Amino acid sequence: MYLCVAAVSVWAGGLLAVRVLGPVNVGLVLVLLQFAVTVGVAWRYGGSAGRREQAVRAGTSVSSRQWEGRR
Amino acid sequence: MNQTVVNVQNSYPVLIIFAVCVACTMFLALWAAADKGTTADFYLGDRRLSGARNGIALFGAYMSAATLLGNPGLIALSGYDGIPYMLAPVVCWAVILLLVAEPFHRAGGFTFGAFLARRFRARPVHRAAGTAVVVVSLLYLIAQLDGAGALAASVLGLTGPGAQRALVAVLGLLMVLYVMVGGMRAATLVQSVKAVLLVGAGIALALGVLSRYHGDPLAMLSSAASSSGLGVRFLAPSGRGALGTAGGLDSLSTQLAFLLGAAGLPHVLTRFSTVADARAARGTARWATVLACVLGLVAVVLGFGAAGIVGPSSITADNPSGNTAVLLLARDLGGPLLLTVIACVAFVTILAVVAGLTLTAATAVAHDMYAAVLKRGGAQERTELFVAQAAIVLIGVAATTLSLFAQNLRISVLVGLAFAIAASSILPALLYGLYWKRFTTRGAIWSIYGGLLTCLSLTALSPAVSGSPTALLPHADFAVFPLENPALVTVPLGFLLGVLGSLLPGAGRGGVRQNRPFQ
Repeated sequence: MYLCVAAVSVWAGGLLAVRVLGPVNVGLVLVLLQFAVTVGVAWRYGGSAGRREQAVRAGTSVSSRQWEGRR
Repeated sequence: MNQTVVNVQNSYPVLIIFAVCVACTMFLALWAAADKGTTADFYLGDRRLSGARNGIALFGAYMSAATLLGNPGLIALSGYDGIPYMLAPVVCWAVILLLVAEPFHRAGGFTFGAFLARRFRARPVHRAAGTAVVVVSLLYLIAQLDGAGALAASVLGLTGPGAQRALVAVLGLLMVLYVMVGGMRAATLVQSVKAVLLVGAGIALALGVLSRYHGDPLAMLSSAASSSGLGVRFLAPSGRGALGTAGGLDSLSTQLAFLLGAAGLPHVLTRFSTVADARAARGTARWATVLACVLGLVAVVLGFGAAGIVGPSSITADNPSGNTAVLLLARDLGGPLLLTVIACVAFVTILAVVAGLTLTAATAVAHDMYAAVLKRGGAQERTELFVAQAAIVLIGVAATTLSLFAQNLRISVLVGLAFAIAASSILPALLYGLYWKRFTTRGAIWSIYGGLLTCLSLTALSPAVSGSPTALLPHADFAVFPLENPALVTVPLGFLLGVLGSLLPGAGRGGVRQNRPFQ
């Protein structure tokens, strides 16, 4: 997304200059959106990777208990 | 004409505050002094940091004074065109978090070379990785020291290249002392304190700006647009970029370097080895991302605030590249006291970054070059620690000396080159090493040396070195490569060389020690 916006600002700057609210234009909205997406990605990835790790650990301990039971 | 933001008559109180600031950080370094019995402790600390603490330290190690001073200055002078240079160091954290943080921690090792040596033939990859790490660290160190000299001279009211050189030498000496005394523990503490100061001071200044406009950011933008003389065009892209001489293509190349280079910066990578587990490594990147976003937003407010309150003409009169815009803004909002506080924060910011860089470069010399290449893995721990401390002095002296001679080269060019090498030389080997099963020793060496040498040679042939009035050698002209930043060419080349080196006939297994990525 970052590189797309960078490329558009170089070769099609007019698109980003379209005004949305007062002095705020599409380019400034996209800047804010990139901040939000970055924080969102960081938070979601941290949470989902943690849950995945817990699930793997839980699965490992269940299978090792089953293995012990069979013995 | 280059005026200064503080008069010479006022420089004594400023000097005293600066001295107190330096003394406080030195006290912190002594307090945190490492147990120098083990190399692991000196390189990485006790490796028990939580994700939050390490994330704050990583943010402190990564965010240079450019974020607080340079980027708002660019925005104040170029409007929207300056924003991408501030956005890249923020967005790059998503790349680092998703691709690098956790797998690099799992792979283990003190250095980038040690990470590669777990999979490939040890000596060649240690040699290549150590060389790339030292070059990137040295270039970034020179840029930071030059920036610090200009900043301190400006704030202290000292003019002339002699004063700047003296300040660079003093900062170089301080940098060596900090790292020699405390190793990674001291670096971590100084970086954490700096991170808190940087975010706190930035938020306070941004709130000061917004209060001038009664809390209305739209009024601030309108004021910035009218002060610029360009109207609303100031808030939209011009298509030229804020830095480049080759226009949009150069701007795109610089942004690519900043976006990808951060994930390959050696002092950032080292930080993922200073935590105990993968959860803490993820937490590290998560906290650093959030703090980077906060500082990025603050930088936007400060940039447009400086344009509206100080005005681009006053900023340019003080410093043509806009580096003192935030200092002028602080003076306008809170007088000389606030100006001095912000200057001290910037100074601690630079100190924290150079401490991390020096330690990383010294670790590469001692662990990669000495212990792995010269001693073939058979170095005694005490000797390696002695070599690491000697390397700190050597790198400190080299960086200080080179920065005294590089004062004619623009800081933005040096920083861009360091990021371009990290993205073209270190990142390809890092990502292939983490994710690609067929990557070989030859592929790693080709991508590291190929990326490094093409970056250096293309920059030597660019308008940054010759053929333009602002070049390092303005009277010579051998600039056959049009871009000041080579990343647009060298990043794809670095990745391609890694593939070719691994797949072309004759590569064999290339001395692969374990045929699986670190996943």
